[in-house]
Amino acid sequence: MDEKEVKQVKIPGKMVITSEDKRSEIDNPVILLVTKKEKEDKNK
Amino acid sequence: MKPIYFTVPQVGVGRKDYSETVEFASEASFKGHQRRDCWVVDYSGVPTIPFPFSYAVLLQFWDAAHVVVVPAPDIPYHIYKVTITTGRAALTMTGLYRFASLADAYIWNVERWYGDTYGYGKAELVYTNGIKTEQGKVYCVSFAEYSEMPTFDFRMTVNGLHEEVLYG
Repeated sequence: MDEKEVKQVKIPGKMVITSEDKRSEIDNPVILLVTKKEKEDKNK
Repeated sequence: MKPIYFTVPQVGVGRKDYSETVEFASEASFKGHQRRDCWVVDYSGVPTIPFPFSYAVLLQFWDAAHVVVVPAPDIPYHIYKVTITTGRAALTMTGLYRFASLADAYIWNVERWYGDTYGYGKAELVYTNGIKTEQGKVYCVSFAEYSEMPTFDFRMTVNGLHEEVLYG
């Protein structure tokens, strides 16, 4: 499996959690950007 | 609760086909001590990323004191459906992951993968029996739109329920 690289990115957005009797709004919830880790070129 | 009535079709001769009832039995049924939950996440202007990269949102829950927390609380939640819509007919992806801790999520050290799915403008994961959360674990929904446009908008909807009472 490829090794992943994770970065936290800041993009304005909103998460709303609702239940039958509750509601919470979370501004700018954490978003992770998951990319493939670049392998070092050993021939360099 | 309103009872569900249905007819059992008879095809050919012999015993009626009762297999349709299996589908009804597997539907989530809500009990008095449970509450339906819905997570909706809206973002616009998200930079498009190349395949197979993805974004991920950490799900947040209410604990017993009704405080929003990231690691799943002791009161279990059950996740039944994860839907991503982008409003554009481009390849769209979503997936659900579990991590042992928040630190593991930040290095993508996946403890359990609940599958991913693709669609055009919409991708949906359905868990007939629900995914029951475990205390202290971190749950993450991944998503992406693979279009050649610079940005995309998305809405993530997660449907589930949680127990109001903790049984020992």
